[in-house]
Amino acid sequence: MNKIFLSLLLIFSTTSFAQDLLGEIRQSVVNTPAIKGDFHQTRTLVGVNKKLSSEGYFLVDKSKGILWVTEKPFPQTIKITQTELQIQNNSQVVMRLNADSQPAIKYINELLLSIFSGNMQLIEQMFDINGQSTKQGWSLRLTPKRSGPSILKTVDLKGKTVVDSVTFETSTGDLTQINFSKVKPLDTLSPDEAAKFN
Amino acid sequence: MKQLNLIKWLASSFLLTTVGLLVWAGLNFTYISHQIDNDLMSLLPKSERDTKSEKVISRITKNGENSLVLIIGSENLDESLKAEKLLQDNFKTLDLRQSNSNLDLSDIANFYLPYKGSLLTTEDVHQLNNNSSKFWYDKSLSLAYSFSGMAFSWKDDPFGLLSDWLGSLARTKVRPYGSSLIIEDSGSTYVVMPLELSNPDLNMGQRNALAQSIIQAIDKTQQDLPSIKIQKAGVLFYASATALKAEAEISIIGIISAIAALGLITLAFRSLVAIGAVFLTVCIAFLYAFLICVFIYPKVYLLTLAFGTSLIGMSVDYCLYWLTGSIDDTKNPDERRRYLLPGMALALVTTVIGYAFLSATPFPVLSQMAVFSVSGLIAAWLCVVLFFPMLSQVQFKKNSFSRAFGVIKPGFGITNLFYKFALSALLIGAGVYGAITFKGTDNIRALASYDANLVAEQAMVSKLMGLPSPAQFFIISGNSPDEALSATEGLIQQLQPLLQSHQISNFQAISSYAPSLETQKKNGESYAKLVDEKVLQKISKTMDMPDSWVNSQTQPSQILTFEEFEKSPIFGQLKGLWFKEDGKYFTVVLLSGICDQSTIDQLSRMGGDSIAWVNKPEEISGIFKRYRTLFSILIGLGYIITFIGISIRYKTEAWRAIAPPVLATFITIAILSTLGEPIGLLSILAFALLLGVGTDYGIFLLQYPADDRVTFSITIGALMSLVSFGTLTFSHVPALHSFGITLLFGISLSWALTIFFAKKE
Repeated sequence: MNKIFLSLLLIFSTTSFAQDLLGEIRQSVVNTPAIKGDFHQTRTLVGVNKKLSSEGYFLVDKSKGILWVTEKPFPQTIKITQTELQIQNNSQVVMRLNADSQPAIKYINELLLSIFSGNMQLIEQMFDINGQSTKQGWSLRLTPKRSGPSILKTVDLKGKTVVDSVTFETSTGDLTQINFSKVKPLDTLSPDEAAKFN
Repeated sequence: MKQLNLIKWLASSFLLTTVGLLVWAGLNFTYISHQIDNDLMSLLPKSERDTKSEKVISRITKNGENSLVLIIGSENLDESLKAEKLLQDNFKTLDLRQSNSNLDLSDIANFYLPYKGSLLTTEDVHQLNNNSSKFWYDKSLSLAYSFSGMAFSWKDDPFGLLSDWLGSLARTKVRPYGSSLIIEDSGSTYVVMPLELSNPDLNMGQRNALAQSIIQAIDKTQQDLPSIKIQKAGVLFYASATALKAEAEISIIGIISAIAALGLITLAFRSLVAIGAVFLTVCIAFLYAFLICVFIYPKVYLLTLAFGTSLIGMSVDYCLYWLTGSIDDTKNPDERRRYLLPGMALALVTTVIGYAFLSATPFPVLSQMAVFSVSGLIAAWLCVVLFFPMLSQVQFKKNSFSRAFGVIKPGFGITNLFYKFALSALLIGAGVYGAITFKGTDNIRALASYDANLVAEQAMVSKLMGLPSPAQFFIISGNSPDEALSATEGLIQQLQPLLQSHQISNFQAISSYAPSLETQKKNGESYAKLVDEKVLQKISKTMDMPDSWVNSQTQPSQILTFEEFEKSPIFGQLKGLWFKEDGKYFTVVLLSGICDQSTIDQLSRMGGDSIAWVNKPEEISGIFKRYRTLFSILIGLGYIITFIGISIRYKTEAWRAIAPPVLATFITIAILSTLGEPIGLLSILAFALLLGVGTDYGIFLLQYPADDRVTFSITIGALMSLVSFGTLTFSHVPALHSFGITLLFGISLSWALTIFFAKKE
């Protein structure tokens, strides 16, 4: 009985805590329809000794999706839109998943979009939240709400006015660390940039 | 004297039995009230041959019995999510829980991992056979560097092939959205709530109460959030709606019948004793009817009771024969019994023959209705014959009401021969028209119909969720599990064009989860290309992998045997699609979103020796048609036998008893066709009953030609039957409606024609 009471108390306290925290972060994060910036990514994969580092830039258009363009060590573009997830490598499509046949693609898109755009409302919808906010910035630990066929175990977000870094841990144990730089909140993408989504 | 003793003995045993039954019923009241069942399936015929398809259907229904789905739609997803929260709060106190697949993705992934070279999608096989090793090198590196997560770690599935295959299994349109599930369809987003009963052992009453609570919660939520629309699907709702409707109908039909019966008796006899006697007879008839069904059948169907209300009218008929017989009568009761017995006995026999037709059908509910009615009628008949003579001191006089009926005389007083012939010709013409225009319908909907809204909601939910059809599917057989799986794959090949043209939206087959050995072998050969071309060595070098990795990846692909698959948690979820019988293996392929009849025709032509297409609605229609034809012939035979029987006693006058119901039957057909009423098996069964009831009128008029009280009696009797069967016309259950409306016309016409053709003194 005491245990139940205690866990109830915990649930309530974290909920109200998360509400306050998100409110604070929402105030500080710039919310614009589009974002672009550079990234530096390091992946640590289970059973792979080599740390996989890559660099490039990204474009986020909340209505369109995410474009993740790797320039080093080899050129590669990942495009995640409402309708598909596509990986293109040296002008050859190596992977394409269609949201019509696999609606889970949209779920991935939503998860990532909420993270990269710092959309607190969407984050709240998709994740259980823990974290803190100080004058220097905020940090959040997100756990997907539905344990079902989830691919993510935890997501750690750090930022101030924009998201500065993201760390993903997948359920298989792979770790992906991404640091952002030159992040620019935008009202719209340039026509050139927008065309890349097509 | 001997005969009188026998009657006394019979009367006292009948009385004792009745009292005994009454006491038993009183003591076992709770037990009896639990014997009432509103099982929908009772309307369907017991399968005559195909036990396998029965097995599949009952499994599907069993699975479906305890689960339900709510779909919340609105312009605004946030509103829908709010509605979901409200509903969840409301459901907390109910025997209801969120139904979750208890399969963990990582469990599935781990199970399949050892077989990765054998499990490939057709697209990947195509790419393996056609793409260069450079492509696979690039792809593997892309996957390693990209953040898109997979069910497998990169080292285990470096080309994402097993991940593709696993993805191809999850073809559901439902996807997660935060803690909720949603479906997107033609521009709209819906929140999906799959639910299941947390206690599967609830009885009918508790299930109905649960369904009502859910509906109330839905209504409340819809009131609070007017912009949302909640649609529901599940057997639970159908069962509850049918039960509630049937209960309401039984009360209304029963009350109308009872009031009409008592009203007519009051008007005709103006005697409390008469009313009391009739009332008691009806009660005893119901006591016997219900208890005998309880004794014979494991469950008494609600529909039997709904139909059984017509017993009120039928049992009152026998009371009437006696009571009208005692109007202004000076005979002593025993003499009167001797006088009335031949007519009443013949009437009972013919009516029982009519009901016997019902009991000969393979429809459980119909045979129970017959047993119910026959038991009740025999009890009522015994009641009248054994007890009514004891009411010797009661004398009835003709009153204004009964005198008013005096105008109804044999032939309706038409004396002009020309008119008589003209009218007869007209009637025969109408009958012939009916015979010519007769067109039977054998639609399954003739048995039961459900609330149109409920059907629409169910259809909508099934379409959105891509739920498989529970009544149309394939059964594939094989001498070994692998034979069955191979045949299934062959069938799936044939289904592909239909999938592409959207004639079907999806299929569910066990071979998707456990391909045949041959397919796995072929896949393995394609996968071996990667091993041959040293792609893995190149990747290993770039990625700085340990040597053991290349070694582990270049092992020949393991084959997933069905025996192994049967042990997996995945098989546990698919068990319903697989069974073994007489040393043979059977598997089911379920289809979703079958778009139209022409698709069904195409599907029915598919397959080979080991593939059987099951189309339950069509099968039932086939049974309907066969029985409709069979009963039509039996009714014809019934009339011939009755005619011969009556001829022995009444010689050349016999046609006067037979022609009216025959003609009434055909004219009723003419009327029903003109009204656009479907004439199916149930109408034919009503005609069978008309053979019993209709000939009674003629027999009575032939037996007592000089007795104008008999005309009065059959008139009141016909009115009574009209009321009791006629009220069935208003039933929402098509089976009862069809029965009611056929008898409404059939009995009125039969009565009128009997009097029209009656012999004048």
